[in-house]
Amino acid sequence: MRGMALSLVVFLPALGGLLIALLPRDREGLVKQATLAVALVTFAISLPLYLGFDARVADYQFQERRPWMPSLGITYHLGIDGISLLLVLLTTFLMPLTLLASWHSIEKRWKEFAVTMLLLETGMLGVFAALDLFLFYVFWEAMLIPMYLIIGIWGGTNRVYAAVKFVLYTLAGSLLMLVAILALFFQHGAATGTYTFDLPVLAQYVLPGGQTQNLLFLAFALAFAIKVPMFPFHTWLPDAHVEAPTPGSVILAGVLLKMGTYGFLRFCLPLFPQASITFAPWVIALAVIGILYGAWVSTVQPDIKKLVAYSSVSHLGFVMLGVFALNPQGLVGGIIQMVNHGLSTGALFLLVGMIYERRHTRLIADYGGLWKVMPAFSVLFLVVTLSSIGLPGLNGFVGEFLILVGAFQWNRTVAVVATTGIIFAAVYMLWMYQRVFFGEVTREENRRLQDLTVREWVVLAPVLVLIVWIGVYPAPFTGVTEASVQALISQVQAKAAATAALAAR
Amino acid sequence: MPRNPLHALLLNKYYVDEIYDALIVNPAYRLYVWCARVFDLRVIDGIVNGVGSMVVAWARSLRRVQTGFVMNYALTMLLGALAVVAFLLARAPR
Repeated sequence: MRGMALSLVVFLPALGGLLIALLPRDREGLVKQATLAVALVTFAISLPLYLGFDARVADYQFQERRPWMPSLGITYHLGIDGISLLLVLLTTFLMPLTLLASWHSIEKRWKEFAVTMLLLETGMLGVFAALDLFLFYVFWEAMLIPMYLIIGIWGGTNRVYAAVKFVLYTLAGSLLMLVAILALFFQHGAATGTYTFDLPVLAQYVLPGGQTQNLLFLAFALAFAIKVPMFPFHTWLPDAHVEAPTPGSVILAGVLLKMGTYGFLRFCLPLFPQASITFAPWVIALAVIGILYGAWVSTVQPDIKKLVAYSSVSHLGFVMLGVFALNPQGLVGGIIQMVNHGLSTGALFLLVGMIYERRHTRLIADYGGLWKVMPAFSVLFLVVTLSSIGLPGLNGFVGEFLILVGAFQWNRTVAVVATTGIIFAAVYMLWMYQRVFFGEVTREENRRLQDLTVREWVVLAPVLVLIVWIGVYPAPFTGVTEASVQALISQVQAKAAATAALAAR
Repeated sequence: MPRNPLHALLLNKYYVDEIYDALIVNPAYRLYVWCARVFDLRVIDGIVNGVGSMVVAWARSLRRVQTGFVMNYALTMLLGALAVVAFLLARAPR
């Protein structure tokens, strides 16, 4: 079975989802338990990927390659390296917790919800594991459908607007990427005689520099920038987050946004190295604007969920800054920060969902003095808040520190301006925390709120363990990424030099 | 109640908080509100939703062509065919 370990992890959720679709609708308890079991088993069988992963090897591991449509050069090619390993694990880790958090918060059509969530998990895992551009594109688009349904069916009052906006925004970018994939396919085929969508093969090919490479880079970059989302392509995010039900928001923030930053790492840098270097100042400028702008807009949001949504724009700006600094610290920091953001922001959405379940409001003004009523909830919220703003000893600090070290080597001014983003993060998070939790209880309805239940403890405890673990001892997480990051940097530099040499001839 | 200006100055901590509010906090807050309400919702979302409504308006105007009268369609086809023939004749080598 070792030869199929990755396929099993990717497709087990979808298979489980198909079986759950056959269960009787009125046995809701059984449906819930079966769904949770599928997600837990998926997490369990994804752990050997980490345990069996050789951190010294930079190349793809657990590779599977089977012909799929040989006449078109399409293969079923899966594999993970240090860049995707942590994202696969993040996905399988968050999914059971998210399902457990939806136990009561999803009030209608639980069975359909379960099937949709499990199909979504397969889509996301496929995006991180696919090594064939065609296969990647299939997963990338397939994942849109379940997310569209989750926002559009189980969302809030303005859910249809948000769902349509999410899909059209993303589609506009990914269709340009499809054109670029085809252009790359034909360019590579004409130059080498092999027509293939296989990523490792395409990554060997040195694309001529200049306009072609720049245009291809921009088409890929737009698709990924929308997903990240980078300023100014971010306005689908607050709508999608606010309208999505809690599990939708957790998965959206925890995993989906990382598909954008992952795309830059996996495709833009190795395929278009010279264009990546040419456009790095522009990408970094947008990243830094995103860091500041996201934080500023967060500060004045009256709705907690919207505040957390805009804070993602700011945090993902840090990730992009680290990635395009193009040095080991920046890239490792960027990858770790992707995981950190998934944990911290995922946990924030879980917590906001828990309070929403009790009071059915997310407005900061409707709360105040919760510390007296719900002490345990308040403490966990505080820990996650501090992790989100990068307090040393918790996970956010590790990622932001590495990113800023990387950015400092790229350009000092940029690093200084980006660092102010951490101060602004403290402003919006702590000000929100103060208004919600401190002071006197101002509303009668808030006096009798129940503190965390056992189920909610079970949902939050694993995330908090990881938040502290990564903060105190990040080596098990950074260690697996370093070899792949080093190889990626050498590849980008070697190919950029080869492109320059090609142009000079 | 402060007894004299010096007492008022000391009582209000040299007005440091008020100076900070006036010089930093309030202007920053106004900038953030402008980013959130004007730039994000009017400018960026204005463009995004504007593209959407443009497509809808364009489609709505095209809808008028679909009248359901077969005679109109036939007339359009005839005019189109004439235009194609005229174009080809004009380009044909003599």
